[in-house]
Amino acid sequence: MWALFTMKIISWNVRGLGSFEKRRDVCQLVRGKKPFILCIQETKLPVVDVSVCKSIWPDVNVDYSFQPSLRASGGLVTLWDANEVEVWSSMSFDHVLVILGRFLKTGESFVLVNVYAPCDIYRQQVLWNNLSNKLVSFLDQNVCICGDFNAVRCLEERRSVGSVFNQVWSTNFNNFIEGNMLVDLPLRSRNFTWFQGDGKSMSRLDRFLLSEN
Amino acid sequence: MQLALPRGLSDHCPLVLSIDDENWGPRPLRMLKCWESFSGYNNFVRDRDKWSSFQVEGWGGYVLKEKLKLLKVALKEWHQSHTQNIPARLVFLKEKIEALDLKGEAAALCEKEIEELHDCTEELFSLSRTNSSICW
Repeated sequence: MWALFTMKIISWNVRGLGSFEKRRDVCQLVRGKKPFILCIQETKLPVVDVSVCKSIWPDVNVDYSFQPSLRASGGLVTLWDANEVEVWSSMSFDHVLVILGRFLKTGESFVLVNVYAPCDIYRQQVLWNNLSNKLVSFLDQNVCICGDFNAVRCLEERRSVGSVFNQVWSTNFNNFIEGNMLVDLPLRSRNFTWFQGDGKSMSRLDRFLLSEN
Repeated sequence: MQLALPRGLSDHCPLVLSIDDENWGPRPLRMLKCWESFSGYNNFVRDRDKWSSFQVEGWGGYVLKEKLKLLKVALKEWHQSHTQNIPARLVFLKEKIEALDLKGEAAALCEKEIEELHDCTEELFSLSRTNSSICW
């Protein structure tokens, strides 16, 4: 019953959380938006400790769960405001970090999946399979999957120069979404979420997917 | 609602998912059944007073839409002056009755005061009924 209560979740692929400037950027976002939960992809940090969390979210009683990066690649962290959210368990497998908890004000429980998908089609399919298997155990729960999926659903979600749109890639992703009956919310304010920076290549790689109930 | 923000130092935009139960789009018209029990309500809405006083030019559907919009504003004002804050008015009436009762104990009330006491009592009863009939 996602629609019955007020809440705010932010998801961001930050491309490295090591530098001071990046942490300050995240901190400003958090201060401005005041989310309940913050999901970060690509921390590129082998360890996320309390001092990292405090540096990006200093104002609240913050708690967190993380998946270490493999050398300098990947890495996930999910942080939450412990005054708004209670988390009783977290688990992690390849490219995925899951927390289970509830919103304290409403008592509504949830499953939040933070994803950083690999960028090759075969490993991505393995991820969709693993994730689908996992989601079966969360039937009838409020499931929210967010992150960088490194995939687009259709031609319109990608603009690029020189490379060809891969239909199979999108079909795999669409099958994952539809097979698990996830709701893909429309995006406000722009069409793409990733920009190469050359003004030519851009895609909608990031999104929130919600369970139907 | 899913919103993408400026990406800043990353090449990805932050996404904000917010579900706000106060944001359901335009507010619907609320009509309180008890409005009908206030004298003058029917006249106010239907007859000479409001509906026909709105001057709107255009085709029928547009005129209807605009008139409903104007009526909504007028109803809001009417509600504020007639039915809003009933509990406070009930308190006020009770206090007024109490004051007149005490005055009557000390000395005989004049005719005007007796009339006021009657009016207050009558209004208190009618407002109390209205107040308990409002289904929020």
